[in-house]
Amino acid sequence: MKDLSSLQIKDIPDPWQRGIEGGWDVIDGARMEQDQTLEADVVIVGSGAGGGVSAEILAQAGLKVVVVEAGRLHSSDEFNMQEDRAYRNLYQEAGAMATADGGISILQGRAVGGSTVVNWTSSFRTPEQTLDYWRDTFGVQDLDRSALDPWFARMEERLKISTWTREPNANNDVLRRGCEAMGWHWERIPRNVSGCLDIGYCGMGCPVNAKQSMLVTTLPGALDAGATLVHSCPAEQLELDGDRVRAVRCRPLDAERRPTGATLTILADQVVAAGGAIHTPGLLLRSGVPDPHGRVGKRTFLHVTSSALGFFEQEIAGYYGAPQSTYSDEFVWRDGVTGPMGYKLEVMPMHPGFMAGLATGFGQEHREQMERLPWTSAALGIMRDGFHEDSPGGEVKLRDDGSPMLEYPLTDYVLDGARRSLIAQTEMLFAGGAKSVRPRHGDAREYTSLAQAKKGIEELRFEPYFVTLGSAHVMGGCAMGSDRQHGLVDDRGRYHHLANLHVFDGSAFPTSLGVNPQLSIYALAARNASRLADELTG
Amino acid sequence: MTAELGRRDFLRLGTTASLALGLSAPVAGLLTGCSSSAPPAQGYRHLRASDVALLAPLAPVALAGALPEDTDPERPLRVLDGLLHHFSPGGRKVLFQLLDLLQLAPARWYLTGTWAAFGEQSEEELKATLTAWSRSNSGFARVAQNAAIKPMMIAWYSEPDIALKTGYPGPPEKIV
Repeated sequence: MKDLSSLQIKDIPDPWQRGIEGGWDVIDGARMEQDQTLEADVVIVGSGAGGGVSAEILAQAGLKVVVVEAGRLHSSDEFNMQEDRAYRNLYQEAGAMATADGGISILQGRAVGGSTVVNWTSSFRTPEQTLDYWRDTFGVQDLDRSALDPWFARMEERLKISTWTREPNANNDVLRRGCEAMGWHWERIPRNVSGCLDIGYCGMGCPVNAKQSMLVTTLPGALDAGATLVHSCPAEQLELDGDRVRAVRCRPLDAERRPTGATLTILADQVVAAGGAIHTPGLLLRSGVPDPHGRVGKRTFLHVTSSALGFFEQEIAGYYGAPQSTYSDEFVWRDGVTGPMGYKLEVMPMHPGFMAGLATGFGQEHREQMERLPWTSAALGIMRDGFHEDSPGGEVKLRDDGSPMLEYPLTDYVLDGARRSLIAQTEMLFAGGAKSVRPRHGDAREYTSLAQAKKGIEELRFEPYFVTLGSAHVMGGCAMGSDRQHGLVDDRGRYHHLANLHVFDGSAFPTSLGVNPQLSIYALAARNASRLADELTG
Repeated sequence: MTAELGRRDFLRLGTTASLALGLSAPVAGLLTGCSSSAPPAQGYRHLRASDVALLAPLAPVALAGALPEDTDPERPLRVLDGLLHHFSPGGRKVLFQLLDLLQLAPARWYLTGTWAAFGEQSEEELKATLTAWSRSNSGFARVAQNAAIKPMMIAWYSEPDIALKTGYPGPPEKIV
């Protein structure tokens, strides 16, 4: 049996310890008990993929940058690869976030570095089909692949992104074998790692700083260039003054995530919203920004994800090894960009707490799946939402207490995608050698042959809450587009209705992408932040 | 179809089921006088005495086979409580509204098919209750079951000692 538990990981320098000792300006909101005001050329709300990249570029251009982050600072010395600590410290709602009606569970980071601290490192360029659709449907200009490719290349270099050439782990090898047997496309995944030990804990904070998340790349770069980071400090509201944002008002939280009672006001010439596609629209809604066509929070996309467990005779040990190293694009565009929902096939890492969420049922039925964890593979169908009129996505709204939530009605179009993607995953798992397969659906059984599984899936009810769906990619809600009826920001991320507000995160995407989103966010943020830097320093 | 009919039935209970977890103002109204604002139970940071009473009988059924012999019966609840500590206040409120709803016999009947409080059901009866609940014709009932017991199950298996009882050998050792 594969066993890495005796492997010792030691002598890993924590860049944050060194940086803070060396004079980085890092302010812990938990210690902020008095009202305080900071001033900046640019304040960036959020320190994930969009905020991190923007911070480094703007700070290195000589601008005074303040990054404000709702999550706390956790860095490699704390990353002990245990799920209990990781989910509580690094994920929104301790990993248990969901859409408002509970129909789709959502994994999203909440920490300095955002979701980049916990993602599984898959790094794809935005597909041409997606960019063309944005141009043709939403009038997004100047954003074709020839315009973006230099920015992809720049971020691939900055974040050491390259195609994984080592052997995939057994979990990812199931995808390879299954797709080969089916005659389907498969390919290796480009990953943002350097010195990766191939141990499999990307989702819990990389213990060796091999993953090139914002935590070890752009945020240190920004701090070295003189930026200030305030963490544990949610932005509550943008203070408006005519057609400008005058300041960002924040409410720091103590180590227990209770308000300290202090208010931090950050006065800035320019404001970048980069809190991710739930919290950026939430901030804009709380602030009452001008929104003449009522677009803030609308068309929020999830890459709604179906999944299936495959049980094998041979060991899979899906908890060890690079979590995602193979994928299949066989079905992403096959039926046309605007046809029935397309989906990307990938696998996911399998740690016990995570598996407890994936295993169906309760009691003995659940336990029986848990006890086969070492022999289990988990497939994913990542469905591309937003490319069809019956896939309008969801809407971010505010709860009574001002916190954002996402309503995402599951249309028949999406549910049909779930059904078809589950059939494909089942085919792939059996072709990859699974002895039995359990599609994640409340009424599915464990099927021991493909014929039985197909018949079983055809008989299942594909209705909201019956099929078990998830998401790890939240996008949209502040869409790009030259048409102001539908778009809120231009192709440079500038908010149409305010003079100095910029949206540099995944919320600017007019649809989902059809690929894991991190590199798309990095490249767009890099381009837009560079243009903003040129403008401000030129 | 059935889910939709179920929803309309549920509306007759005097609440809104349009958002299973975003049970908002009407439910809060329905629950006036209930325990929503009660303090945490002794030994807990968030779960209230009513939640402990509600969930304690469910834990050994939901986690059957996963509780080592000498397990303190309240440990799964304390583990859940620890998880809830990292929820946002809004997220906790939503879960508490659901748990409050399950305290009400008509809602319990609608969601789980049983009038009797969980604490008054034997383990066998509870197993039957959870089984019927998980196969409910109402999607809303199904999502409610997931919301009520899944976080506890995920938190349970995320405990380092429990994780090792699945055949998982455990992570490498990080030495700082």
